[in-house]
Amino acid sequence: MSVTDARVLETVKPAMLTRDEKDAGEIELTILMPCLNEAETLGICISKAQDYLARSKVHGEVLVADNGSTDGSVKIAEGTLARVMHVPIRGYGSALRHGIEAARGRFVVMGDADDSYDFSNLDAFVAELRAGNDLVMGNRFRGGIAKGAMPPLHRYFGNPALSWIGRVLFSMNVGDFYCGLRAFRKDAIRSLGLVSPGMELALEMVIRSGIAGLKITEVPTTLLPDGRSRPPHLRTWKDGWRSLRLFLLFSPGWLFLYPGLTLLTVGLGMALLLQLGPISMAPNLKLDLHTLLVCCMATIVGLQSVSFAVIARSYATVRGFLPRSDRLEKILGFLKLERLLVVALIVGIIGFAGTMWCLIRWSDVSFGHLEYGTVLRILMPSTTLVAISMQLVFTSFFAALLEIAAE
Amino acid sequence: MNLEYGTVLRILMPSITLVAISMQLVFTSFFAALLDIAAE
Repeated sequence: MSVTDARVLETVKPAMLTRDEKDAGEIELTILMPCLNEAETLGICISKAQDYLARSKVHGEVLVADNGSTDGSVKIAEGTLARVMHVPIRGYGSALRHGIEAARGRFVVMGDADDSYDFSNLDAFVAELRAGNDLVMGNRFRGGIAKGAMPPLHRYFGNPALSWIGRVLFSMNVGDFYCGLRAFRKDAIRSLGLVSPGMELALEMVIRSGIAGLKITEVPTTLLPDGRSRPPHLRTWKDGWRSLRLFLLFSPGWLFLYPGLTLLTVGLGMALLLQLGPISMAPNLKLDLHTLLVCCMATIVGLQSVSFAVIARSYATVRGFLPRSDRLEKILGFLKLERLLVVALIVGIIGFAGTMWCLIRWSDVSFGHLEYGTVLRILMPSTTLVAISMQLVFTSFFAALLEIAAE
Repeated sequence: MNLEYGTVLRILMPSITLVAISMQLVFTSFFAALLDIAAE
């Protein structure tokens, strides 16, 4: 559901309304706090943020995107000068997306309202945005993590490992993908069309900013133990897996292409060699038909994976998730449905002929006992070619279907 | 070294097929999730 579709209710403080309405376009900074039952800490966070605005003379506002709190958070926020909006669609990502849409500032600083981030010290974020950066990530590892602020498993394993994966997959120089305190140019982030309704939105923002080529930098920030008495919403393993899944989904190359190409190259290459006869690797190591079988399977799966890579990349490009690629355009220009069907037909005919040859050999012995070695060396690659031919037909039609759907 | 074809192949073929199916399931699941995200 889009933000405009959502029934988003907003409470605007009269004191701010006058000024905001006069020069809504001139507001430089919105400090956005998604909120779900943060009554214990919301007040102090708003107070710190407003103190920052007053001290730094930045023309800004504090916006609380409440996600259905039942603990009096809304009443607390309404008792301050903050603007409060009610986001009925549940989820951290949903609250943030609606908050970003409703933000009046040119720049947005977002942070959790649990008093673990220091809203009274945002100078570095604003300075980097004014310097022309589109996204400024906080880095808690550089700024300092207070004792008890982050579980050791997250601090020493989960966060560094997943951030490393993110850096490798997306070639980005971000040291703390998960930092909840970050700042960005509103128009730049809105143009990405973020979709995640849950906690993944914070990751999606970084990943897609990187893919879109936005200017990203990071500044050291601190993390203190949160001030609430209830346990955090974060679930270590479940949310860790959701993160990894998102990383892979936005990286068809690492998800499909590289594993697929590896399987296809090794499988096909070894199968071709074994087609000529057994290979002696060492005096006691001889590769033969059993290895050929494994190679045939690797070829089939590898080709399927590469097919997925091409389709996924193409579809993600059409949908605006990934940038266009000249190389991909050329490949897709070549891989037309009719051309692929002709290739599939040729491959299928060769495979079928090989299978028929084996059948004839079997009939030669009146469908009795066959000499394994010779027949299997032909039968396995032949059936593999038939399978590949069928996969090509199905995949080609599937890709054409997606192409129609995407237009 | 030389293996006795019949016995080993009878186990190897279904095993490799299962491995291939499992890999295809993984790839297909991710692919479906990607389409799901793109459709939102």
